[in-house]
Amino acid sequence: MLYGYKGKLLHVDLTTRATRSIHLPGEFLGKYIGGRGLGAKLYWDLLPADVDPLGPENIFMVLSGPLSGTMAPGAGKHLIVTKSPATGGWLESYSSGRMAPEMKFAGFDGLLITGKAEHPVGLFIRDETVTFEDVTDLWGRGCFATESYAKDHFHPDCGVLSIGPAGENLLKFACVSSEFFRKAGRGGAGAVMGSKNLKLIAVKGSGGIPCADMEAVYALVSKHYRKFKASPVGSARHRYGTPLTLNITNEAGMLPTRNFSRGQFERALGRIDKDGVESVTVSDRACYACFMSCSKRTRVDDGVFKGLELEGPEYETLAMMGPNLEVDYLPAIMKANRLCDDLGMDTISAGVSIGFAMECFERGILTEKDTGGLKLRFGNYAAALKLLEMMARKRGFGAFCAQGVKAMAKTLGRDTEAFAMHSKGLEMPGYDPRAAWGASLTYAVTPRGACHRRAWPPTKEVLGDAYPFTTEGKPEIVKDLMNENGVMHTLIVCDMGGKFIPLGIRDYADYLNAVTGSNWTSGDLIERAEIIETLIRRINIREGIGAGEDVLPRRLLEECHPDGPAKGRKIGTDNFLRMREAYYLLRGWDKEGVPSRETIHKYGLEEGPNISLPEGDSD
Amino acid sequence: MRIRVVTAGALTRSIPEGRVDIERQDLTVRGVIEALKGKYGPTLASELLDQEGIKEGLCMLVNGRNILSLPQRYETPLRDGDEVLIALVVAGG
Repeated sequence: MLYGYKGKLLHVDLTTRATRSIHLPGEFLGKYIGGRGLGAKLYWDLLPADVDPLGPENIFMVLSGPLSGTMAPGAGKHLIVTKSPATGGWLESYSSGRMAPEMKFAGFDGLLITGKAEHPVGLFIRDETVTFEDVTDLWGRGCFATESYAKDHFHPDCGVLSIGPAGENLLKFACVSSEFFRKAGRGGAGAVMGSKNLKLIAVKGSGGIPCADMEAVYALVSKHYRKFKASPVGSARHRYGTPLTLNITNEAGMLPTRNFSRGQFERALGRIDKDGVESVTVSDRACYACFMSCSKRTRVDDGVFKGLELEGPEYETLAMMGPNLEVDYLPAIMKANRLCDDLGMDTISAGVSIGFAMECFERGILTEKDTGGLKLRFGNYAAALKLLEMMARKRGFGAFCAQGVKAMAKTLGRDTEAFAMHSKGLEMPGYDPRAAWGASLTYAVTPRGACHRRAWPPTKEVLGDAYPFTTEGKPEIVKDLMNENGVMHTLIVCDMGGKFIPLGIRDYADYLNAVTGSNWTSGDLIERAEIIETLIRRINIREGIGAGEDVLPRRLLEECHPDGPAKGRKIGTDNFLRMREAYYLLRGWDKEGVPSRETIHKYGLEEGPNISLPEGDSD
Repeated sequence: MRIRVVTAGALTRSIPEGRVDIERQDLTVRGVIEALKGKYGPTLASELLDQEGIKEGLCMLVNGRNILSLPQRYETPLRDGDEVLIALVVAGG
């Protein structure tokens, strides 16, 4: 058995309450490594295409990686893999906290949860003992109360995943909460938990993680801590956290404003940017095994939201609840953040859905009669806050917005799909690709839908020397960035550490070898990421999600910004399609984005070993 | 002409106020750098520059465009009212 791993998964069938171990062969781990790679192989082997994302057959996977629970920087992430209620295909969603470390301390590399509990249930795992607890009393309550219950009644240092009312009500953008303010936010994983009547999972382990060369791990951490302390980039990240990003995206004209109508929001500066958030910051907070401590605890000291406390807001929430709604009042954004965190809702999708509704309202497509009296004009944060609660509880007009913008536009018609900002049914995050055209490709081809975490081309197009207003060279940039992040999401480590310490793939290979006793090179890891990307592509193709879904709303391709750096610059549908085809070919897929037989053979994707779910009684 | 220079997380020692206006005739990007060196001295030079130009890890944007993707790069001429952002090359969240 390789060091670093536990070599087994825990399968829990909520219908029968059977619990069984699944052995993970060393050959299997050597091929798929962990995290994203492990999830892709399990999805391919275990989830046939006709499974309803909200049915009992869907599998809710919570996965770790070989570095999880060690001292490697950013090794406190866990990964949820499941079939997405938002897209009907592959979903990977990451968050942080103690979940992955505690799973491994308890003896498991991951959890596979199937079936549906008869009543709302909490799953409590202490080492290898699994207890099911009726938590009907918690149903309807928020994530904060639910997680507090686990901390108070099970163990104060346990790893916890929980859902709020949004997950219970099966919102397509319900998230899974951890560490109170940390969220696996994207794609509706919270609704999958809700569909299984699974309110919370708590894990506490008493074991450790043997490493092949513990002294080497310690030496690497020490070296990288010193590197971080000497880095101005690291210092800035520590001081400002993600809100610093807003100053740059606004300058570059890529800050979504007024439902992606513009790329700059002048009123943001000094109010909801790095300086605005710093003015309400009371302390820093670090993730498990991370010395960057880039998250900020904040508090409102005056005004109508006086006394409000939370962790955040991070950049995405600032962008989508701020400029995207033309809101420049930071306490209102903080209130929206806290509401979403407690209700268990993704702030990106919620912000985009409200922005879409506001544009429809301003155009007269929606009226006060439709909205139940809400005056959904841009800038009306009071209406937005009220709508957030209505969405999570699917009340009145909130039930309509809770579907997400793809379904909203389909219902409304009248060409509203042109400004329904999503790809594959997943709403777009806080970067307008018209100011960095490579980002349009990322949004279209990332397998979980419009996503900024698989690759962030503005790092080359805005912060680097790549010309932003061309599609030339962008397929190569997107592919390379996706492969690099793919390595980090497979190990699993925070992809921010790589940028801010900073570390390269070679450094992560060093950690992997010191922990597992293997001999990976950076080239090996990039190749694995490439193979895993194609495996995930095969999953989506099997789910019926191909080139026809790798598309973007007309606003991004055929409309120009009225001002800012991208003024008058149109991506153009033909340009976009040529760029997309070039990307497919770089990956070894055909012109329709289907992996070719040669590529599948070259990557050994038809070869075993394969995994199946055990049957019968509990172990 | 008047050029506004804004910093975002960068040059915290030499320009702690985060912004400064430069007033000169016929400024280019290089001219702005020289003006900043003249105003803030060696501290700024050591924070901003190395032998190749601006230091690795930093970038300069003129009206939102990275100077390295502009045709004239450091020799890009500026106009009255232009804004120069000096930022770290990392962002995201």
